[in-house]
Amino acid sequence: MLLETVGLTKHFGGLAAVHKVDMSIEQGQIVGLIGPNGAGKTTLINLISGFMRPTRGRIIFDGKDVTGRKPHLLSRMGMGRTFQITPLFGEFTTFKNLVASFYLSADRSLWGSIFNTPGYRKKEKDILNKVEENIELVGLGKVRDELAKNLPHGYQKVLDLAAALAISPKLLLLDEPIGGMSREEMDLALKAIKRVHANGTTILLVEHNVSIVMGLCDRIIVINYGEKIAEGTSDEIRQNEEVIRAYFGRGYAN
Amino acid sequence: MVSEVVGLAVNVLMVSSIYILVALGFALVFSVMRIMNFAHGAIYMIGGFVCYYFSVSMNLGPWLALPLTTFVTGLFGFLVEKFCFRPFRMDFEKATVMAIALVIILKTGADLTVGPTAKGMPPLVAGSIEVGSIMFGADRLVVLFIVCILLTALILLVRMTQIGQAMLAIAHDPEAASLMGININRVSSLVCAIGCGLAGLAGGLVGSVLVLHVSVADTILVRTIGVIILTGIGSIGGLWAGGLAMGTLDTLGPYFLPFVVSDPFGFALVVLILVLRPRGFFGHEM
Amino acid sequence: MEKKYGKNFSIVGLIVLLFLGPLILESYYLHLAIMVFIYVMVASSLRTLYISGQLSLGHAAFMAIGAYTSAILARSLHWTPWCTIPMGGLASAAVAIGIGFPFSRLRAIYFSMASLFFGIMVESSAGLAPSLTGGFTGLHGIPRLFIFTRQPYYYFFLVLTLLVLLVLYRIEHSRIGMTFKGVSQSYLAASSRGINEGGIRILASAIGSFFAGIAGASYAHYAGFIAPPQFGVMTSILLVVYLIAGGKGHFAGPIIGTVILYLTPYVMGGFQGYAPFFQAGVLIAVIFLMPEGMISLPGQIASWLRVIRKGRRVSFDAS
Repeated sequence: MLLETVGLTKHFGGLAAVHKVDMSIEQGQIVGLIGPNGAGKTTLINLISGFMRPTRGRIIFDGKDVTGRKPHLLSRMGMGRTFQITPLFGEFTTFKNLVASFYLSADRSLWGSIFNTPGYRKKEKDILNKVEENIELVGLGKVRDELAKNLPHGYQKVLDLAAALAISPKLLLLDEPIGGMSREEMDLALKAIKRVHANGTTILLVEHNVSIVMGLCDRIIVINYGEKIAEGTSDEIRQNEEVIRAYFGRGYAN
Repeated sequence: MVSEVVGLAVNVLMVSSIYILVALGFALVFSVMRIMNFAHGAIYMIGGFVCYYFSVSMNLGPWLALPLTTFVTGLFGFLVEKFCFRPFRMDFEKATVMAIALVIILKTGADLTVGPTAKGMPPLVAGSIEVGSIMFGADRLVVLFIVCILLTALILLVRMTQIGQAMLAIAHDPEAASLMGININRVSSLVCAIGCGLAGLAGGLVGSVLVLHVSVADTILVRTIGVIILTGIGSIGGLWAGGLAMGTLDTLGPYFLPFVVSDPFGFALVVLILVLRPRGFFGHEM
Repeated sequence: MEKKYGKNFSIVGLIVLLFLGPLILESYYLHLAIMVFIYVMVASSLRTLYISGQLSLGHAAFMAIGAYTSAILARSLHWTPWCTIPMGGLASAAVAIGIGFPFSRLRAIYFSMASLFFGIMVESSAGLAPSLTGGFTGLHGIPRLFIFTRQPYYYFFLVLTLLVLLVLYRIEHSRIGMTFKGVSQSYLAASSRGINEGGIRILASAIGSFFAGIAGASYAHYAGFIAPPQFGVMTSILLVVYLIAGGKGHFAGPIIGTVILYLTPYVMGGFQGYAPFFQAGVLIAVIFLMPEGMISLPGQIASWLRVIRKGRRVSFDAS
């Protein structure tokens, strides 16, 4: 089991945004997380990735209890994520954004930086090579020298995805990775996601577009009002009464 | 003994009220124009000297000099807003550099014209007041009184008038305010004029109670920013608390600790508050 | 390729010229040059903090810490300045790391205000141990690096400045420098890439303060006398001005800013009293006409000339 949450709860003031969520993700799976607007999906992702502290409950990643750990530590343990509002280094080019993202695995020694030691230079070349590969993998070759803040929205999301790969994550949390994308961008992103998964990365995918999730994921978890209401394969979920009720209201359950 | 305490209390109140007045001008400019007017202290100093000029050099006496000073510094504030701050209203770095340029100009001007000598003005009201067995200087009380009236008037202005509401609206959300038809330029001009006018007036008032010197520009600026930090950036209603805290620290500090310790101690305290509670007593997150 | 060689040659040429300085300049001008070197070092070290998103309004305090530490150690314990100067730098860095823990959590404007008050606090605490620090009137009798003539000092500061600039340049253009710049742009992006934002900002502070401390300490052993007002608010503010007016987007920005703004009063001869007006004027000109700072002036002039020559708007062609 790569990721497990036990009784995960988050309160904001008196409101429970996430309430006693238990879930588990096995290595190699691609799991979808769906639910109506405001169901708490992003909060859940924020909790797992360390950007928010849970009020109650535990998070176990790769066998270790990581509840409450800071995001950069989780990144180093192999948990990557993308964001709805893509956080990029806006003043850097696409290429530079990815280079910066690869620095995690590089040694950032002061000595090496100042004196440009051979070890430092070799690492630099390694990184540049990896970035080139990465760009090809996600298909951002055309825009490699554009400033990140000038990229169209869809490309920014793909860049976010590429950057998340830089840390060679075991688990990748994708928060609405294809939101607001054009057809072409969506194809690009989905291809990239599939390739990443084929490479061995476990994926937890939050997405509004239910049909995409159905087609892509082995298992689907459904959240409503902060609680897990269903879990299963896409067929099971499609027929689940509670899920249908959650999305469409009472009258459609049948 | 009692007389001492009362005298001390009056001092604390007077100093606090001056700090509140000056900080209010600074905070208004910041809230409406999002600019930290580093020249605020220098304008206070200029106000003091201008008042001296009117009161002593031109022999108009303090009661005529004060309103004149307010008018002059207010006008200066209006011009500064129009030519110096308006172009950089939302650009913190450039506006700061502009304010620094202003400080350099004003302080150098003062250095060249007035020089390093300290000046004093005659007190507004001579003599002291006796209440029972307690005696304290009447002029400080008068200053306190005047400042309180001004503060009340200002609060009424902001709360009750249309333009005051406009100020609050812009402070809250400039874009929405302009979409609602509020003329940000006009309000900014008024705010800057008021802010600088108040600073100049405060300088003039203090000049009659304490001495006037070129260095007051720095000291009052530091105190003002300290008040703003304690109160919290963005809060106007809470300035009384920050001003009082700063005034107390400043007046009572030297009483209990030697000056060399109380000064850095006071600053360390401000730094501590900034670290522990950046929002200050009343501020909101920026 | 051509352009790069041209630029490198002019820098080398400039350095050679600087080395020849003492042969053509009188002692007084050497002193000016030394002061410029010192402020160039400090302004550039301020830039290290700036690129990590921390605009410090109290940087002169770290000059003071370095200066006083080194001066007191040399004076009271009779250690040689060649040892105490690095120790001054380390002391500054240590203090920066110490306050870095709480300060690095503060966002932009709050950090600036905290640093401002920190600087004021340091300046005003000079009176705390007058027997050691000489109080507000200053500390005399600081052991000097060399005896008598100014020339060795000139070379010392020239070499020191070049070394410091070299190190700072390497750092800014290295992976660490990129991390600094990344952290200043987006906390989310940095954290999710495994970058410890707080730690990086403390590192930037430590580096910037270290060199400010070295510069301050070196000054102490040059002048033989230091006093609190030299490291006060005005100095800190001036450093920020040198940085921004010179150009905040370029490594050489603070260098240009310092050179031009510091030397302005001295080229005005008898009108020295009016010099600040000129400095203020330069500042105003920069923010109105050259938002990217003085360093962008050659580039701007070049593009104006291009427009004039071609007679129409030149499109921005990055090739």
